[in-house]
Amino acid sequence: MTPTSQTTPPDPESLLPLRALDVLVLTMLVGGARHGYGIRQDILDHSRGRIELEAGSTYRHIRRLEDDGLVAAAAAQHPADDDPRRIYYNLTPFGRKVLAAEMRRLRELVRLAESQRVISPARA
Amino acid sequence: MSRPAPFALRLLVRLHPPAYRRRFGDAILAFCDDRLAGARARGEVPLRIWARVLADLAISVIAEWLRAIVPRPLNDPGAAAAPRRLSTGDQMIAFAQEFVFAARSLRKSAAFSGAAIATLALGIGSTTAIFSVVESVLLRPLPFPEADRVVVPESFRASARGRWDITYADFMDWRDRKLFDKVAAFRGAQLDLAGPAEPVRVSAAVVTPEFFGALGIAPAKGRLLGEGDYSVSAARAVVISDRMWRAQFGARADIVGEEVELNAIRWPVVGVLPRGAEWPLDADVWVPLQLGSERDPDLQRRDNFVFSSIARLARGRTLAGTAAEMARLASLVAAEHPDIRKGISTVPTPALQCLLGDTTPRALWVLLGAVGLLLLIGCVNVANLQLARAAARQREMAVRTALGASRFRLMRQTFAESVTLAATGGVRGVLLARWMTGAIVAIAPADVPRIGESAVNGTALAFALAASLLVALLFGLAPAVHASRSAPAGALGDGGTRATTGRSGLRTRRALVVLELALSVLLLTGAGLAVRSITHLRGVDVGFDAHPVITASISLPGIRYNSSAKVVGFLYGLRDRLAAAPGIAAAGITTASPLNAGGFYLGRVMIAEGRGTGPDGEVPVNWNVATPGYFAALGMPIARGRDFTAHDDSAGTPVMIVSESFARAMFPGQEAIGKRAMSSRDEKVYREVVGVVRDVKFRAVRDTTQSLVWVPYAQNAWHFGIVTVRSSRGAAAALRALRRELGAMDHAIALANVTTMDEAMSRSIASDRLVATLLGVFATLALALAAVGIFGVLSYMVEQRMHELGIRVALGAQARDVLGLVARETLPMVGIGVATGLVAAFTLGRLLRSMFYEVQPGDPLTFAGVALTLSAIGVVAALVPARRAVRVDPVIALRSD
Repeated sequence: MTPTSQTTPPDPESLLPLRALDVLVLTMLVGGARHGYGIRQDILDHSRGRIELEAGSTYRHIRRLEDDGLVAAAAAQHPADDDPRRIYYNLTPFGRKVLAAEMRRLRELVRLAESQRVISPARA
Repeated sequence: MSRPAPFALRLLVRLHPPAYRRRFGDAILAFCDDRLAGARARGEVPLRIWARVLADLAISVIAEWLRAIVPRPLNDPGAAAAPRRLSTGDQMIAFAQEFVFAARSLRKSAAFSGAAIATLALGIGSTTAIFSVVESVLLRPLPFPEADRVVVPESFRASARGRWDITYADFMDWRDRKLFDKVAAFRGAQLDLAGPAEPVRVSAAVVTPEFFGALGIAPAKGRLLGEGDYSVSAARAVVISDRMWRAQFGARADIVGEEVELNAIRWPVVGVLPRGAEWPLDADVWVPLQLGSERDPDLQRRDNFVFSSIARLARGRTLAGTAAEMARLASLVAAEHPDIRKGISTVPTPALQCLLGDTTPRALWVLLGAVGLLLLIGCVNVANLQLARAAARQREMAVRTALGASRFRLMRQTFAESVTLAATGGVRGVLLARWMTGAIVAIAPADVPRIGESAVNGTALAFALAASLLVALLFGLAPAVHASRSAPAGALGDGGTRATTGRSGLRTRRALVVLELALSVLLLTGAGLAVRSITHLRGVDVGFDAHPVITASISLPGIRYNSSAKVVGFLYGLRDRLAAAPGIAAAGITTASPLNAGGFYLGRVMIAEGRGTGPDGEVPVNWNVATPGYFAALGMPIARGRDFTAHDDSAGTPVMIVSESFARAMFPGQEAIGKRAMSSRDEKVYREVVGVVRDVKFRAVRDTTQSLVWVPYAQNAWHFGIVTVRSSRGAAAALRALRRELGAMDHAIALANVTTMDEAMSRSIASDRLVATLLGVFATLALALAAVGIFGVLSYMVEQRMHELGIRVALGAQARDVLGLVARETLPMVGIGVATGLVAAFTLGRLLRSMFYEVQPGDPLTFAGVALTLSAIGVVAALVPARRAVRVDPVIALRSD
């Protein structure tokens, strides 16, 4: 049975809250198309070496995000001398909306933490 | 350019589900290449990187396969996110709802639930009951700290089985070389406790200083025996058991300092042991061994194996290490005293193992295995019931699938039902187990250690819980997988329930029938062999007429009977009075009663006159003492010669009466009467054979015949005797006469171990009888379950083919064609099941051969009987529904839905 196409676009809010790693992956894709290992390196740098993904877990996350329509494989390959096995991924428009909704949610959470003096308010 | 990835990585990627592999396989390999290259460039440790990468891929394989087996519903990929977002509270509610729904559904199918729960209760209950017994007898450690370090040093001969006591000299070796942390020697004694009513016989242990240290126990009241209690001039001191404190002293708080009168001597109690902490198990009194000197020649002897021992392994030393050291010391002794110690060594046996022996553990494990088979058969039955029910509910399942229930959901539901059934069955089973454990304890032989403590306690309950869950898994898995596999389109159509038996369902059912038959054959054969064994045991000719004989043991206190003359005078006087009493056919006194009904089994070696004194001519014998009239009392005919008379006393010729075996071994080919032999290690007095009796089963019904020797009390005065009385008026009258005469002669002497020989005979086969009884019960239950189960499945299978058979009949098939069709399908299953079971039973029987008495493991009678019974059941189960099929109206069959 093939999946029927959506007649109404899904609500970005319906996927919240996102998994923490999904947020990271999506954020790393904001800057442009990346392949699996590239995403891994970006996350590694961003977390200052604390979050270290391997192949299986990376692609598990990518698979989920792709199935939910948040990322999509890029149509064309990048540099010609690149490893042809690599698949580059882009954030989809829907994915962008979902990421934005999640960031807004996180911002609310941060504001709550600031008001409760869990962390000091960020300087404007 | 990409290099070919290393083999291990390619292999792991290959192991992923095909769809996933096609989608991401290459990308993953590229990722790994980059990863490894980067790691090399940074100089990271290769091993760590490889471990991470390989582990991650392995986990990925598992995760993706799980996901593939349990797919999300096809119509809305987004809906799969829904369970993710359920809060914990929601998830718990959903979980509970499964069980509520399961319970409701089960209540609607009352017949099914009732049958399943009853079967499970039976299986789980029986298994829990047997486990309770196994736990308390075999598994529970002894009540001493670090009980696995408490050992019993024993002597043994490498060439023969059986172990026996040690010599004091060996004990001194171990103590002085500090082979153990603590080691002690002790001897048992039977003492008469003077109480307010009749005197009571108690078991005592006479111990050396480190005894309580070896056990590691602390006193519950007062103190234990200390250094100062062991010198010969020390004040008397005795420690009593908790049992005795409660029974004889009413658990009074001021027990310390109270005196007890044992064998006419008053001993002050200095302490009470904690509850349950007795060693030996039947001892109630512990007395210090007060020796004049350890240089006493009797204590220095290396062949005086009369002491028991208990020890605690040294810190940092293992059992094997200690055993090696003991063996080394023993070999030194054997080299030094080859004539008495050649081939004899010593070994430390863990205390619990020593207590249990060989036969008890084996019997109990066999019972646990048997009851496990019963449980398995029950599970097979319930699995069949569930499959049948699932087939009937296929339409319901199909509808639910069409409405969006995932496979996983359906599986979960069926599983919830299985767990509910198992849990309910488990609870009922525990109630059954409590009753069963009580019944087993009631009929169990008293000599099974710790069986009185068997109860359904926490451990048994935990076992029942685990068993219930395992059972739910066993019988729930197949139906759950089947339930989730229903194809909606087929089931919802018109011919839905007819056509969807499913090939795999049929295969599973066939396998279950074969399994059930095989298990039943196994269990029934075991029971059959056990029953045959017990029948043989009952019919054994013990060598004497046990019927109207009672025995009781007495012990004469040394203080009042301080000379042989007094002892002999008392015993012969008692015998004469009894023999003269009305209603008593014969009476006698001896030191050891057959069938382990009490007494001292004393092993000695004797040499015939003229054979020199070397070890070659020595014959091991069982040495007994008896008064005149004993053989008549026991109903043991004197084949040749005569009984003892009053003239066989210390002034007369030393005489003895011997058994046939002894005569054959000592004087082969000759007439034994008139010949002489002597006990070469102790008495060294030549005794003349005056009578020969037939061989008798001495220790147990399973005994092989031994050489037995009796000498008269008047020539070998022992303070101990077993009074044996044969009465024409019954046991009660005989006992009254005995008490009367004994009381008239000395009212302070206790009668102990009063028993009839019938009881002794019964006791000696009690273990075998228990095993046979329980196996018989389990086998009968299993047979009933299997019969019902197989009948149900085969009927169902035939019924599924009703439609097809109806067509055949309508087209002109004869009755015998239909029967033949059914037979061809079902009979091979029956054949395979029975054959498999017989092979398994034969193999197992050979392993357990020693358990059965004079029964071959492949006993034809048993095997034939079992094979016939189960084949008959199988055939009937197959053909009864077949006949129904033959007689059905084809029109109805064709119309049936």
